[in-house]
Amino acid sequence: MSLTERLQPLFDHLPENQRAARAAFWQRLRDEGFPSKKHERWRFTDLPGALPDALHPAEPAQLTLPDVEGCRRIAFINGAAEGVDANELRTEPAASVHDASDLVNAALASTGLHWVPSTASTPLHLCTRTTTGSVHLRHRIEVPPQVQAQLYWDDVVEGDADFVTQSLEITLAEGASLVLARKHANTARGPALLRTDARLARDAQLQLTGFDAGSALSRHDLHVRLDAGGAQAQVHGVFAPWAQGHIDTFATVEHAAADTGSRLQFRGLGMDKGVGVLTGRVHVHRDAQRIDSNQQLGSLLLSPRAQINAKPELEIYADDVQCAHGNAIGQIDQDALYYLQTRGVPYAEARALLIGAYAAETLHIPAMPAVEKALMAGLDRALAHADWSLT
Amino acid sequence: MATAAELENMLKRREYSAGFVTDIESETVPPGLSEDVIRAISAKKGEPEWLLEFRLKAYRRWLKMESPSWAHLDYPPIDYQAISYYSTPKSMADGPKSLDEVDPKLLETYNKLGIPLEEQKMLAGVAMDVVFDSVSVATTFKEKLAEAGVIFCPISEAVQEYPELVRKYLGTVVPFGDNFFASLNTAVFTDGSFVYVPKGVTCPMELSTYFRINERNTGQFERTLIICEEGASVSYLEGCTAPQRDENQLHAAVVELVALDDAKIKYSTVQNWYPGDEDGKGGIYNFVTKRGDCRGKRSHISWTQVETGSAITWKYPSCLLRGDDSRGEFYSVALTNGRQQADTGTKMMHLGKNTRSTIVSKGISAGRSDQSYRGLVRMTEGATGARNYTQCDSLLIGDQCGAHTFPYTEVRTPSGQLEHEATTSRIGEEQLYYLMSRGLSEEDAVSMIVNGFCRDVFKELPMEFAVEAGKLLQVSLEGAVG
Amino acid sequence: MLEINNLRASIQEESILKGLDLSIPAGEVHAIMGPNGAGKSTLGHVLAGREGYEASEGSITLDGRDLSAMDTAERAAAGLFLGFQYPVEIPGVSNIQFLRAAYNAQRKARGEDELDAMAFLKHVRQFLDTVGMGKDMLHRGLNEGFSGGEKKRNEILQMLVLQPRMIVLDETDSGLDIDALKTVAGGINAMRSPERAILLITHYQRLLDYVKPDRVHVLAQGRIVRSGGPELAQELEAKGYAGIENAA
Repeated sequence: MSLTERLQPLFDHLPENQRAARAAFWQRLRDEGFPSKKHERWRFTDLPGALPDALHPAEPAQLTLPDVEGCRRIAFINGAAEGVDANELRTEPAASVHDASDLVNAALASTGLHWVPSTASTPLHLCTRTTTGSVHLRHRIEVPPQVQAQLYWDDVVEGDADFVTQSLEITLAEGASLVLARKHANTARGPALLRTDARLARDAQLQLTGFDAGSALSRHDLHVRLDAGGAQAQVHGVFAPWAQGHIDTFATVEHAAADTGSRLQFRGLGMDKGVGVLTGRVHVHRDAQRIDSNQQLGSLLLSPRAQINAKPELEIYADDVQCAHGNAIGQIDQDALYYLQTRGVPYAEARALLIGAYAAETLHIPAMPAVEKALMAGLDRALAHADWSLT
Repeated sequence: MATAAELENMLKRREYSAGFVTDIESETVPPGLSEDVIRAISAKKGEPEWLLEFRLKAYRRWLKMESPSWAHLDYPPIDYQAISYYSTPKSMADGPKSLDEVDPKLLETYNKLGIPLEEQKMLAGVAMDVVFDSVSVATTFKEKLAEAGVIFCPISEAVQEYPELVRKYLGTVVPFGDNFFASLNTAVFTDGSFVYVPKGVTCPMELSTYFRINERNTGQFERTLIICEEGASVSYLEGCTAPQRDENQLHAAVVELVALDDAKIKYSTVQNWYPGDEDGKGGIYNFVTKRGDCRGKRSHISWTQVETGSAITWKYPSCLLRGDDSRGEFYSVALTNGRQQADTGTKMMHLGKNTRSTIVSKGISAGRSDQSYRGLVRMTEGATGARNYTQCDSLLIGDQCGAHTFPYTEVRTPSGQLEHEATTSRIGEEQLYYLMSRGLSEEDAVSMIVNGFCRDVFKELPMEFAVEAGKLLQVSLEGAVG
Repeated sequence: MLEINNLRASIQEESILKGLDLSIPAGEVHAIMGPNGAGKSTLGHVLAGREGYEASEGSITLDGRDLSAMDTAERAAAGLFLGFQYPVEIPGVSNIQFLRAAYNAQRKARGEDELDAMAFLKHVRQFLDTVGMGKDMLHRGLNEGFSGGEKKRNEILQMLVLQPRMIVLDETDSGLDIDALKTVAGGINAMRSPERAILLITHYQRLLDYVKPDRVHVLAQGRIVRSGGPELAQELEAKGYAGIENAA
């Protein structure tokens, strides 16, 4: 059965008017299909192959959700909104789709968050949970000129969730700034496909920090486009697959204008039989001069069967640029482990300390200390899930 | 000293050293590729049955393959049926009678590159009695090698004289179905070098294609096989700095290196094939598969290249680090100007234990050219203790060119370590000004900076190549700045 | 030797030099002091002919030859040397290789014979002690990884090797400790000769204790606003630049 044949019941489940509005995307999906491992950008990840045989629509559920100090929480539980104002609910379909992998979400997502923060807005805690069935949400964040906003996207996919896709469309107007933290964990039987698409206008600032963990398949496509001078993007992420987790991050930063800057920093922690895939692509357009871009990738292999595939890419068509990248893959420093133990710290704790130290710099969010704590707690939980008896 | 008559005979035999039979010399095979063409080529070369079968196997596999499309290259589809896969070697008698008859611009380039007069004559194909000296030099060279037990001859000759050796190793490093261009090469390869260094022998001199007697007209589908037995070592130089033209536009070569325990092979290339005119038309397409198999423990294979020519370059000299404690190295300077395109890099496959690889790649893009470094470092599960260090830097000259980096790293062993650094920059106005304020002309200042940029690679080249390489860069960059 | 008349220059449309006059006869050492932003470094780069630093008005002549007709390398061959305030790093190019190339390029431009590698090394070696550098410094990359003091001493070495006639040193003393300062001063004093002129561009008076100037000029708001003997430097040290600026 092709992917669209399997997804057909989900498309049919949509209300009539929504199906009509999304028909073009559905047709494109049927024509183009979902990228397979033959596609360069998907060479390590077979997402359709990770789908359970039968896909079910979502069902409502009651869950206790965490609170984060200083944030206003809104939630989507199995696709159903909770604590969301009517004007914060998105109903319109995607304006356009740039990547074939986004077609599924464009065709099937009927709702999501639509947030236009103001200077007085409290930081938002977007809590998304999926415990059963297939859920597709499409969110939109529009930060007006000169407004500074903060968003914490806290996503858990677990239990009998079949297939979750979430797309986050972000536009930052002139002088706007957004601090976005994302914590994602997938332990369900089906895959999760996340997409973050951000466009930055003149002098806009984006600070993205993500923590992706789990024992299932997650793919995150991250696309940031710097459209005018002064725009700056900082993209940080830590990924930590355990058991047979497979976490694939494809990040692209496009310098489409001169005088823009980017900093990418990713850390991978490969545990058990986990597979981490990371591509960091920096694309500098012709005439995008005086660019400053630096990308640093690092990964630790923490077990004999873990795998890390990393590729920092540079595609450069302008010459007055400062572009550098680095990639290092290795293990925990044995000397450091030993040193901590000689000071009385037990092995497991010493190991956790060193791993935490390795990831801490990347997960540091000065603007949202409570959220940073939540991300570090996520890291602790990921470490606790792993089976260290194999190492 | 041989008499003129003896020399003339020697040279006549030279023309036929590839195994051609006299009465077929004037025959040509029409363009197109089919099993019949392959059989004809094989028959003309008098090849044994097993080699013909090997060619046919490759051809049948090639028919099922598709040209790779993942490279960052843009070129019109190649019509494989429009290529002539066999042509007689040019007779020396058709060439210019002296350097006076050679295109003065070509001579000017030879002079700028510092190529000695005798070599210029050889390169320009000046008629045989004037290259007299080179022939005798080559003869002494062959005697020295024979004393050491080193075999260095055209592969077509090796097939006749040392068939067991060729059969044992050919296609074991680059299998006949490895990739589109390698399969094509296996089916129709014309000639190339065969080098065999026996146990414990250090080849007494650097082997150069210049001394390979059958060098003319073999560039198109060249096939080279170099074998170093236990404890043996050799340094091999391919190509030359002089710009080379060839009416055959498609070049698809295959080079296989085999190093057994404690053996060392150093393979250096200077490539300056015709890059095409200002619109990129007419240049050579260079699709090369080069791979070194560090089969033995503590074996060592090192690739060094300076690439400045060709309209399109697609090559990834690679190392299979199978033997425990084996080492692979890749040092490269690639310069693209005009409308050249290059997608080049290396693959280091760490398979054995405690293997090491070093990659230093320097790319210089100028004009409206486009250049990509594409590398793969793979450490498989069993490659405990594997180590890699990669440095790839790009220098952009002008704002109409592109420089890209695609370094794939795949690590599956918990004790592997790799470190990769890359920078992209351009020649700083400050650097130019500083050097000019000390009296250097702008051209010399650019040349100095570019040479400094390439230093880490140049110091790995065999000495005479290093000097030539610097000059080659200078000549290739003419017109790129200002 | 160096004659500057009514020099005006703008950098990126901002007027920096606004009618500067200066005359330095052969055999003399002159110092230019002034507050930050007055145009001191700009003057150096205009003299050396850096792109973007062209004079919009006025003239600069060296031994009667109009410098504006020459490009940077030609000015060097004509005998001008600018010691940079921030010497530039050129990775992968060894110090000695660079020095020889520059030396021979200048000699060639003047129709003189070039020196081969051995002869040149001999020529360079005689100056190493003066700048307190060992032979190993010659083989390091040009300014690559050099400390601030090493970079400044390397500028002095270049000056000694290239034997220029009109020497302009832009804040060569900035960032140096006492020992390095003395070394640098020693090198400068070694170049004094009736056929040479030296222009020291400096913010602080300290260097002038070791290299005594014949004339001191104050550059403020793009012009020479005051000139005097060596005692002018002490006066500036004591009173600062404010008094001078107001009087200008």
